Amino acid sequence: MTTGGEDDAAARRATTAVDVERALADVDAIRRRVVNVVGHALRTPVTTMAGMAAALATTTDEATRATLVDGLVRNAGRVERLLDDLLVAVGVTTALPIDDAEATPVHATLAVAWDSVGGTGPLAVDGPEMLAHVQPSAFARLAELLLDNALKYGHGVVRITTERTQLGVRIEFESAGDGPTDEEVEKAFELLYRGEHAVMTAPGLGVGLAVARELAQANGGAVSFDRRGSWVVTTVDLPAA
Amino acid sequence: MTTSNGSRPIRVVIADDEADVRLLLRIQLEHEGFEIAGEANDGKSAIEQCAETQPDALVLDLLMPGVNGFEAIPTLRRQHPEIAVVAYTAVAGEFVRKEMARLRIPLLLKSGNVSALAEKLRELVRSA
Repeated sequence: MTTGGEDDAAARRATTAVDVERALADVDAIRRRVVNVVGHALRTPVTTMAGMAAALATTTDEATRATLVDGLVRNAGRVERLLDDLLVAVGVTTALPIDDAEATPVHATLAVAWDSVGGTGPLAVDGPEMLAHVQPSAFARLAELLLDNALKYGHGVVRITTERTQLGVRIEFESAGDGPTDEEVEKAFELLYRGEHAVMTAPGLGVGLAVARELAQANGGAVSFDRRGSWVVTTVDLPAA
Repeated sequence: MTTSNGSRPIRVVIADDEADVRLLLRIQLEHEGFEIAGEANDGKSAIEQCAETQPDALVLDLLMPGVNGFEAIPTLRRQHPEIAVVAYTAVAGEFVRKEMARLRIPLLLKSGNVSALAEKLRELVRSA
């Protein structure tokens, strides 16, 4: 025969055991999700490198060999950026850029980033050229991530607006689309979260906004994400030089 | 030479939003004896390329901006039922596998080795 106190203790232990079991199941699900998303994001550049290396070994045409070497370098760089992004996204401070903050032109940085993500034609930026006081490499990566998102998940129309604010420099990245859902807005910065539209549109890690935010915060700035009608708007605030 | 009917090479359109994937497939498939009839970076341009070049086969990535591969398939089937389609993707979850099985479209995972893709293209064109 047990006392009421013993029953309560047994019930608490049982509840705790169920909670622990649930928590372990959650951790296991997260672990699988991480491996799944990271594995898929790595798959394209890694298989491309494998194919290019094999083709390089069997191709004698010098022009083709040069093209393949360029492709290998490009895809190796892509893998390197994926790894850096992952580390930055989970807050590994040693992965953050180490260059010094300096006066960095906003328009010029955006133009280079636009080119590096494959934007076609000149990037239209509405607003004055300004200098942000940031690490150039962090700002360059942040701009690449947000322009890449706008290109990949929008309908091909990207609008950039710059303005000076009381606190510094504000850049708005707008892309035409179907408009993010409430859930997509709410979870935009959640690691490895990818909304249905993103999943159906392009492979990716689901860390771009989180990395952009880490890079902005490391430079005294901030990133926010919202919708404006059917447009997706990502706003970046950075200190002015 | 990989031929469709013994007299000419099999002509293929490559649709993938990744420029390096298109570049690699072009080099690999040409090495295998295929002729690349065109390239497309999304579903809409894949449909246009198929109309313009009338290839024997289409290598179709599924996840692309704008009109993706899933959305392009019904139009391709309606307008170009004679073109063999192979879905070529880095991501093949349960939905993708079921959907491609339902549509009877062969699904291959992206790989550095093009042999499986080349063989599937030859098989589809032979049996067309």
